[in-house]
Amino acid sequence: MLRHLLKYGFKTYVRNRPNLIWNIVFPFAYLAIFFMALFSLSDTNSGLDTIHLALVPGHAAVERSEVDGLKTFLAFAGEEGSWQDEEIIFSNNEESLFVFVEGEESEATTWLEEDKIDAMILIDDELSFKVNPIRRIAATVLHEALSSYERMSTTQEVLTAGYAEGKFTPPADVAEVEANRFLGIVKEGRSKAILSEFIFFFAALAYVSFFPISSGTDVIESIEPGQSPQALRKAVAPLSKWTHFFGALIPRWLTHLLLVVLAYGFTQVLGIDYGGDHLRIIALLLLGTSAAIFTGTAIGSLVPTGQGPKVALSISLPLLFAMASGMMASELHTLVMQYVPWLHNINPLGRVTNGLHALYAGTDLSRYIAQLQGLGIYIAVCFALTLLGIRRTRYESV
Amino acid sequence: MKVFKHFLKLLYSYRSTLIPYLVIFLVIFASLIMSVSPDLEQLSLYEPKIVVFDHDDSALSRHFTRFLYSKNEKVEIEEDATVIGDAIFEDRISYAVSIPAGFEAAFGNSGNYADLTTYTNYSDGLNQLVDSQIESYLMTWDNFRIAYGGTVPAAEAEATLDLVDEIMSSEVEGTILSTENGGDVAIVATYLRYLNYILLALGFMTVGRAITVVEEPTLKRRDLVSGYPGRKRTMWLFISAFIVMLLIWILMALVMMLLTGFSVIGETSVRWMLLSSLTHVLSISTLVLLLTHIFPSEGTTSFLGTIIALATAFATGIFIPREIIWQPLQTAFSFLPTYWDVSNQYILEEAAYTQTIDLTSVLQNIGIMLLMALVFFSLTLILRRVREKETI
Amino acid sequence: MPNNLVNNTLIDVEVKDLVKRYKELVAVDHLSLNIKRGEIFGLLGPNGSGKSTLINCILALLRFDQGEVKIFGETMTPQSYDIKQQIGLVPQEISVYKELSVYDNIDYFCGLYVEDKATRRRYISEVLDFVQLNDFKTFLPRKLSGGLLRRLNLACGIAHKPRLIFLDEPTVAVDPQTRNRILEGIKQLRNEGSTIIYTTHYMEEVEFLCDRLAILDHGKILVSGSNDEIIAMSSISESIKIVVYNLPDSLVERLQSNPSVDSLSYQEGNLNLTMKQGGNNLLAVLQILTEAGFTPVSVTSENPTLNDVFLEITGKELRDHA
Repeated sequence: MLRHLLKYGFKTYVRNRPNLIWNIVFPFAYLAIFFMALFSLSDTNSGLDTIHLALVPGHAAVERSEVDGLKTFLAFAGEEGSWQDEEIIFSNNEESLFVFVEGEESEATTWLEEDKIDAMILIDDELSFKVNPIRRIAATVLHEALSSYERMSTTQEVLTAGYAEGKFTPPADVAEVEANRFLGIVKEGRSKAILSEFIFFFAALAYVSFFPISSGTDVIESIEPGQSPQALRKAVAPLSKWTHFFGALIPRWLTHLLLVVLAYGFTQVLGIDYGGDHLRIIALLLLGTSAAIFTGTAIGSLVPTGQGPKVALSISLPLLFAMASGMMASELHTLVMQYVPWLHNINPLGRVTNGLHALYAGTDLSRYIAQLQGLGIYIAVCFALTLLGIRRTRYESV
Repeated sequence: MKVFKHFLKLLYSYRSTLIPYLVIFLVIFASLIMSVSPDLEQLSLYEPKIVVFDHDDSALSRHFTRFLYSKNEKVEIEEDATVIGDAIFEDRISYAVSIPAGFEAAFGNSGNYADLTTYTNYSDGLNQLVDSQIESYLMTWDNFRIAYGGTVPAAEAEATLDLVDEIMSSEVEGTILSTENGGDVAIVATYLRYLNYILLALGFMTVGRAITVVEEPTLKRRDLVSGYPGRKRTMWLFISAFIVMLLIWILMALVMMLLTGFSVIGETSVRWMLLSSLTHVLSISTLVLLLTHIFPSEGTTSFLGTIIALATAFATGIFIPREIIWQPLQTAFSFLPTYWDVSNQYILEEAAYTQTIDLTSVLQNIGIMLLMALVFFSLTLILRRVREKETI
Repeated sequence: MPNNLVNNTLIDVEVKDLVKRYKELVAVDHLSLNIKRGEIFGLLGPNGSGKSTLINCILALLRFDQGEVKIFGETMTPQSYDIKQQIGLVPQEISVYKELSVYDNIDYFCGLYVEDKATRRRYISEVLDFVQLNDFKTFLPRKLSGGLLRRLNLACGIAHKPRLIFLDEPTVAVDPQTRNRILEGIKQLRNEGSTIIYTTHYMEEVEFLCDRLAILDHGKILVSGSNDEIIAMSSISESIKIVVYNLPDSLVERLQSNPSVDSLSYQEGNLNLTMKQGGNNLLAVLQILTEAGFTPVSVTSENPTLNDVFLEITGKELRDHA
């Protein structure tokens, strides 16, 4: 008997056109567009954008050497450019952090207002700069660079004075000193955490795994006499409600489990790197999809309203959970983890996101397993609520 | 009027769809305000959030730690690689430094590179800031160490640290292009961009659904047989769709004014932003009309609402900065009015500080949206005409 | 002896003092009825009279507040699978899967009762013949007309050859030809031994099909019995229409006051009388007219129909809020 139900369960589900569009087309279309929008983020070494500068001698009496000194300093991380057709051109060396040109104050101000440069540096008795306030990162970088320049000058002055006063003496073993001169900190091979914007990728995949809530509500609709005419007819048949329930659940559940695996495979075809631990990722996604299905069955069996609110819940719940997980704005994920971490614990989509992060970060498996456990508990609770809902024998809507 | 009343009744029945989307919007917006409030009336530098683990506890390491915390925002977390990794991923910190025991003693005696452990994120750009601070400080100290012949005498350590303090406190003054309401302008621009996503989604899921119900052939036939003029019915249907979209927009604009203050309307940028946004509302109303006529089914409009809104939000620069979006994708989505409105919001946001608005671009984009509205509307009328002929 | 034998008659459905409330509304109010084996039992009533509630209670789809329901002598519960095995339901709403073909729909619903594939195949073949849908086996429901859909709906409910069949307005919105076919088919089912409970608003169907019927309103049975028994219960004997001109008011009043006359109207030569129960009504009226010197142009007499009785009974008790 179950075989009979499963056979027709699969048939009716797969041949249903709205199902096809929603459950098959949507996740793949969404992943494709999402990837196309964000694939530049997968370039994990994002450096700073080139900062366009105008160097402005404050007054005619400013020594040429001061201007040249600053240019020499900036040239360590940049190069001098020139104007051509109202744009500053340079060698397009990707490593150039600064590109600078010289100019008068009035024309530099105009360039700044017209957004042709990011900042102008006034070379006067004291060094100062003016910047477009939106360019916060550029302003910070420039501030740090110019401050370093000033510090170098000040250091030089202090050391010169110190030598003159006899406070300092040149080292006896110059070679040894040079061998231990500080050149910098070690940057190669240092611990790098995942870029926070990667939350978009994790949350998007989690969203795709969690979105088929409507399939769960469909299960209940197909067995509750008050919710569909076919269910009314089935209720008169000599089969228990549980048989009908599993007969409706299994085809949908299995279909979606397969779809989420295919969706993950699709992300690999697109080249999105989720860390490579495919089996564990798939296990996580399967649980995420199961959580969605049972959320749907719980809603279907407990929400005593018409189709409208259930459809609204089926669409808005995944979006709300995805929003809390950072899919729409990465800052939201931070805020949730900071101020309402318990929300993340009851958010199955958040669990999948955290699980993907844990796998990508390559930390020990306990964090990943914790997400699986959390999802398991969530599924169990939803299943229990479903059983509670469909055990009712009184339905007033018939 | 009858059609309009009917429309409103249908929309009331869709309130369970309206409310979650409005909640999503307000939560996103409120959180963005909380986390990204730019102080754009004076120079505001980016302050990385850092944590320093000092295991040396020497005069140098303590001084160094104090220096780093004076330049950046101090955060305290547990020293554990996983915890640090999570904190960086969640943007709670940007950088972590661990100073090992014996650091001061070993400094200058164990090669050219300091024995520090650093934890950073993948954004090399922001890492360079803190790297630069660390290297600048240590280089200054090192210069004094070398000047003293290789080791700073114990008696001179404190004085030398004071000198380092003096040197490291050298800063270059920075100012910004003047603007009075720059911060509010930025908020308005962000708000209007996110509003585009909500309007797209709600447009299909409420207005679009209502249109499919009203235009359902059996219901429509009943209306027409009753003697209600077909043209009047069509006209009111279209008017209803526009009015409802406009009402949603007005409501959201009022909420925005309450948050930012009504004075923000005095900014030229903001006025143009609102005009552009209003044009966008008109244009996407016609898009909703067209697509619901092509796909006259409630289920399909729900699907369209979700997919188009999400896809557009990612592809046009609503959820993520436009500069990182793949250009061909942006080009593909430039067939939607949202792309042009988001462009205007970016242009006008920046123009608030430069005091010169590139009106040519803004007007051009508004023109494109109006042209799109005309095209979508015309196509809708043609489609209706063709369908009417087929049913006769 | 079977435990559903009452007065030497096998009772397939026994309802005793059934009460079903929806909060303050009493949908079924202390209702009792027996349905004999092999009969077609009609359930009539205006909308909201409790017909659907009663059927759902009998089928154990609804929990009721008081009373007892027995089918085939056994108490009916949601877990009475042996009883359910022998029941077929043809709901008013078309309850088929639009994704499955005609054949697959019947196979699916029949398969809920009959596990054996060979038996099922035979049953499906027979029911397709019965409803004459052989030419449409592979069609999807959306390709079928309203009448064919109704036939499919019927087929899905009876394919497994149930002993007890519930038919809820099975001929709604079908053409007369299809309706006749369905009605003939139902009679055939009865002749083959099935007990049928039939709800409808079409009086002519009841008159054609039902062996017995009950008229419901406000959750109560107002009257039940065979067609003839119910018509005999009416206070109306016959309706007489006489065309006679220039009757004086005094004569009209005299006719009005006649104890056999229930109601009377006279306009433009048309005298319409509704007579109370009793004999020789027409003769008595004609005698009065003749004695007064008036010769009728035409005379028509009609016996009350079930429709008249239905309106008389339920019309007198129309709800204020209906």
